[in-house]
Amino acid sequence: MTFPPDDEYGELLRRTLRAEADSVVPSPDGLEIIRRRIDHRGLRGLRGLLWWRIGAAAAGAVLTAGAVVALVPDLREQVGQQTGILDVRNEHKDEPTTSSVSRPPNVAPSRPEVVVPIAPSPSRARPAPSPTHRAGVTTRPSPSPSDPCVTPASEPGVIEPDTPLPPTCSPTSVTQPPAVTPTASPRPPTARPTTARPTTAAPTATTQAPTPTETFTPNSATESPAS
Amino acid sequence: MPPHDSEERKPPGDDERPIDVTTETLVADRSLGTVPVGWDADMAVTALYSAHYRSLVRLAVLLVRDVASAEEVVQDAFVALHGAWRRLRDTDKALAYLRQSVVNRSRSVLRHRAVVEKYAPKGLPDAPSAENGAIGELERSAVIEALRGLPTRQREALVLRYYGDLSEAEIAHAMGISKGAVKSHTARGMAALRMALEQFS
Repeated sequence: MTFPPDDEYGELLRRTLRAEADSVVPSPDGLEIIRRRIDHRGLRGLRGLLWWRIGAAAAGAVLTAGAVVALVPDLREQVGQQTGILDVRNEHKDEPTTSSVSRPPNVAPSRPEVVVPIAPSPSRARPAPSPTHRAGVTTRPSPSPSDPCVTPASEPGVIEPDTPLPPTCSPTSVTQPPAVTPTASPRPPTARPTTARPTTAAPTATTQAPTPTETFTPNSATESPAS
Repeated sequence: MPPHDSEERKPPGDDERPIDVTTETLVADRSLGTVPVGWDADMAVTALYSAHYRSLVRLAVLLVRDVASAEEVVQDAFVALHGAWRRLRDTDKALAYLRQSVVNRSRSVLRHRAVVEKYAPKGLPDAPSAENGAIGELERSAVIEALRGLPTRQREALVLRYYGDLSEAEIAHAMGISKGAVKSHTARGMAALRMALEQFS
């Protein structure tokens, strides 16, 4: 002990502390209380350990299931289709990029359409600026003047005979007012099969316009002058 | 079994806890029974309780100024010792662990009490009893009051030195500070105590 020797206050303090401490008598059941607390803490520790083990087992099971699903391809696809994750990913792939900020991906299949001249030319230094752009222009649907479905505006004074319409025309173009029909019949025009229910046939005919063989036009079949 | 039933220390059996025997042992008493290596935590707690419980309670009373709180502090320290016995495995380490635990828990009690007293309505101060009329009692009360007026660290250092007779290293370990800090706290505490007692006289 490296303390300096006690002075009179140190000795006074020592005597006082001893006397004060001797007046304290602890309760006799201290050890029982300690043992009870130890047992209680042990039970609580076991309970905590049990919950920790249950949680660890559940986490391990989930981890194992995830690893199996990720490693087996068939199972992965099946789970992806069931949960919809795979479909969403495919939809995102097919969706064209319309954003002006993001750059569209480099499409390799558009390359074969570009005809590269073999002979050296000054234009060779510059590659084709945008072959994909040309392809986009050609593939864009646009109304052409030779479209047979386009009905020219009929002059009000000209009465045309029943000319066979192109098979690709929609029945809407066939519907004419009964007043301009040269063969005025007492029957109302709605009774004729040619003009029967034009509104119902219109949507189906317009959607099937590019396929003339599948379009049935009764007007052309019955009133065709060529037959 | 109540601890006052038997006054003799019996060797513990293999399947039963050792019988509690409370003996008076000061904190700094080195005549402690060494705990055999093969003892488990229950046996060690019982042996250390028998040797040091009372002195530790008295030490805690000097720190927290309340017998009930002091006993609770010491009991908590023994419960913590039971959980830490696997890594202690030594009587000296266990005793140092108990002292440090008692000091730390006494600090917590004082901290909690300070918060409670801050918001609780203040009552009248305790009036000295007729027994305290004696000169010795007056002197003792004055010393205790002066000791209570010291800061916590200074009071801890003085109690561990003058009641526990601990060395600087032991005080430093129990308080969790350096030896230089122990010297500083002790010197300042003694100076403040001297000043308070001179004013009293």
